[in-house]
Amino acid sequence: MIQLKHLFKWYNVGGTRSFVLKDVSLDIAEGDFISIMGPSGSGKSTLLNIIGMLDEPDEGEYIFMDENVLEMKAKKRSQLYQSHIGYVFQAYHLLDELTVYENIETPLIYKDISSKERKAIVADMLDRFGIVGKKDLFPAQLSGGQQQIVGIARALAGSPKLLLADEPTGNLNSKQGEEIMELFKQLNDDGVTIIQVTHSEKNAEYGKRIVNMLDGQLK
Amino acid sequence: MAQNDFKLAWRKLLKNKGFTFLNIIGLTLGFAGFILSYQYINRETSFDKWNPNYKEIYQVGLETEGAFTDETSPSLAPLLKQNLPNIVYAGRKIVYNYGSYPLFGEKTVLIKNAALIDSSAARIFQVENANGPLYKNKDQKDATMVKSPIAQQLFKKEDLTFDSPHSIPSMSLDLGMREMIYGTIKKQDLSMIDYDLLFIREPQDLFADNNPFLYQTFIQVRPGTDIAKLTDQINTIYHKEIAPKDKIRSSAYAKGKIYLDPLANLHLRPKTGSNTPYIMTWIIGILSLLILLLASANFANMIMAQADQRLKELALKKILGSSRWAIVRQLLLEVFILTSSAAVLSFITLALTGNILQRWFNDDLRSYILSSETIIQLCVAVLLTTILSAIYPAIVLSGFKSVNLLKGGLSSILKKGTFRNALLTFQISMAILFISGMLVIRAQLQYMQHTDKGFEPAQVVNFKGVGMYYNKNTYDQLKRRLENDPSIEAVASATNIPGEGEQPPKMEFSYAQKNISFAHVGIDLGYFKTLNIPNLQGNINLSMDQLLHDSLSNYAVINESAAKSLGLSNPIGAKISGCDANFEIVGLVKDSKAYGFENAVQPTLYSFKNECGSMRIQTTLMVKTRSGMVDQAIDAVRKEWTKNTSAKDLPLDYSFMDQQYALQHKKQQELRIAFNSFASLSVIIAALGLFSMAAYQAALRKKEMSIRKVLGASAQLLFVQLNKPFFRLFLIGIGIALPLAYLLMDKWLSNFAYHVNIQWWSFLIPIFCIFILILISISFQSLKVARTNPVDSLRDE
Repeated sequence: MIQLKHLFKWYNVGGTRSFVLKDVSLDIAEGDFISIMGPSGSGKSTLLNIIGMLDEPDEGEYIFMDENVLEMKAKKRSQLYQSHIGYVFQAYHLLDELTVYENIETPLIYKDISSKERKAIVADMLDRFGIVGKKDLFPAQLSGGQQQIVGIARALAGSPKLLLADEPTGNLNSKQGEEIMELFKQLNDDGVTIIQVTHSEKNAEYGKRIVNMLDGQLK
Repeated sequence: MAQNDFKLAWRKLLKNKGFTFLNIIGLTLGFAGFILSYQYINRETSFDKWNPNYKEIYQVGLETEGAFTDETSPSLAPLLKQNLPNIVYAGRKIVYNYGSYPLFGEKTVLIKNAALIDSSAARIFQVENANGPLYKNKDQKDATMVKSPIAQQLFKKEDLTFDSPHSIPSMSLDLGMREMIYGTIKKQDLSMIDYDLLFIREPQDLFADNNPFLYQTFIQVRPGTDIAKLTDQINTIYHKEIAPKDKIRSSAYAKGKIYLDPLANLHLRPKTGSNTPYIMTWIIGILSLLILLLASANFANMIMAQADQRLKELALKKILGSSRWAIVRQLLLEVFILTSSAAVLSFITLALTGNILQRWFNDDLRSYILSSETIIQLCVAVLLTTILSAIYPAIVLSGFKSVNLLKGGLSSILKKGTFRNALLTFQISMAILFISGMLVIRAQLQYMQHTDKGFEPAQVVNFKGVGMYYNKNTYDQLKRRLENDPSIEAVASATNIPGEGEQPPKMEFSYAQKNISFAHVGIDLGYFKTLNIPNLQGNINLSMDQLLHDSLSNYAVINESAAKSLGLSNPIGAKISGCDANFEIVGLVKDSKAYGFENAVQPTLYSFKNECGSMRIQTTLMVKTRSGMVDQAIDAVRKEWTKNTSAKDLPLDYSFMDQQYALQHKKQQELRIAFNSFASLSVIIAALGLFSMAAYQAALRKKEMSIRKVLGASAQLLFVQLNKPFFRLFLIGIGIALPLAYLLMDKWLSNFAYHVNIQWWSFLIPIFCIFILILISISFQSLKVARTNPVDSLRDE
């Protein structure tokens, strides 16, 4: 599904290059569940951002579902992104002035899905994650774990083929974290490809494959 | 999608209720100020604009040695019409200057505002009779009319149709004079010709070429006429036919040149008057534009500050798939809601307070505000402000890389905010400018009120029109009797009254083979005492006997400026001739600023036998009352008045000289009010801006402050740190405002021949005020910062 070939990304610091990613090549098949691990500053998040089309490498190729992402026009790229990829952040990043229902609904609105369909999809999400009773609450009224669940629901509302998660359990306690990882496992069993960046060995074990990074290179 | 946007926008606004409120208030004030000023300007520039021949109408006047007069011989107009084919109509007008004109109808009405025009002038100014044509048949000579409310007081209801003209007694019941009224004046839009009683008749050439009355002459020319050429032609005719004639010969203007003043200028800046109204219009226009700019800039600033705080939200929306346009649209919608609310609020406020404002400004203010023009202007203002405020943040912010925004890494770039700093500096400098302007204007007006005018208007009561009902002897007797009254100190009459606005005529005199022009005032014996004009040399208080005794001599008194132009330090005994008389100077008096402070005091000659203008009747009686006995004095005059049979049933018309005098500076008072309001507005807006910027800066630099606190900074150090950028802007603002303020104030003051000097505290006070304002805004915020736990803001690492 995804092919990364010789990705390079650097920053120019006073003349010399400081590499964030150095010659990273990776193949990811559909249905995979990959955990990218590594110490801070190893380039994990950058790699995830590139996969998620939120950032661009300075060199290299990125093939997503047989299409060359880097040579696409920006509009096509964002369309691709919208329809196939869901992103879960460490800090949840919910919209504070929207209710849980509206937060989950937001990506659907940008996809121009009709109101009726949206209602159906959001209802489905709420049901699936067991948060129907909380649909009219605002993020400020939820606990950390509940907010993360809403974040995941939002990421999944568009039925993406690929789910990217950047330290999804970083701000949660161990019990909440477990719940989230169980959820991910279930999703993967249902056919969603998942790539997660994590520090925790325990979380990594839920995946099918572990990729280690150090100083911008795969180890 | 739109519904969602709207919902979002509404919630966002509700969330920051305080901010929203401030935002709207600031903008509302700006809008209101702008509308008020604009309608004033609209009104002032609309005089006679509705006249279809607006561009072809001119007033004919004379100028000499840089002075202008609009007083011309009545023979001029018919001469011009006869000889110059390019002139379509040539009309004349004279204002009734002898006090009130009484009309004895069902009720007795004292007309304070009366003028005479001829039929040509009526045509030029589109004067019409509301009840039919001006002239119903060939034999009708007059077409005199009154305004409708006056007619309703004078005539029975059934007579108001004016099927035939009605004759009513006028002037004095005793004398049996009557006036024929032909109808009511048709109401037109604002015009120069605005009188309660309009005599329409051809000026009687009773005196043929020696008609001593001087009229205003107006002409309407054919479209496309060469005005310069026409002016020369008129000039030639004037000098050939009119200037050589008798009375005119003595006038200084006989040697002068003709000028043509277009109708467009006559209301605001006639050559013969002051151009203060014109300047006022410009000043108010610019000021109101500034206020609007201020309000919009402030608004834009606050919006941008808010937008920055929402970076994360905007970035997230982009990541979730929103297009850039959708984000821009969202911002535009929020801003639009705010600006429209402000517009609606300002409109409502003005509609509600219209009645109060009418008292300060002009009487038809309300109808002007509630017009469609205002609404259009508001819509335009809303649109412009929305675009100004929303475009910058929308475009700039939505262009950044979303991921970086999420991680908060962009705050350093946004800290620069040069645009926002420029706006804040603009607000600060405007506030300083307005406050210092306000102080200077106040100083000048106080100076004009309290400084020595060279005469004393306080305690003097002017009784208008009294002189019309006595002859010379009975008038003098009246004055003697009144002077005997214990409540009256002195009584006088003259051809010119201080404070009545009209300048005395300039006449030609010769002294020692030199030709000099002086202003001439015909006075009586009590003049200088009544007005408290100090005597500097010689004897100005001639006795009755002396005057009677030397019936062949002409005595005169001159003022300091006159003595200076004669080059005499001791002019007593000097002989001057003019107005076909030889004067001996018997006294020297102080200059008196009788006609306001704008023009320098004219060299003036006062004479006792009114040699220079027999038709300048001394109709107003000036009575100087003893301190605290004003009411008794008025009663004394009233008692005399009722004894006069010629004045039967005539009410006594009086005013207080100091109030009349103050009216001369009415425009300046209006300017003062305008400036005060603008100053307050700008300070409020600047305060709003400062407050919100302080809040924004504090929020932005919360992390930095926390770090500094952890590293050991004290509360004072933090305070200084937060304030530094503001004080830098403050200094720049001062640098811009001060020179500008000085320049503008200097220019305004130079309009006055007598003015105060700009004091240093006019600048120090505003600087101090703004300084305090900044301190307060910052202190509020930095106190908050000093109290927060650094841990809370350093958390997200």
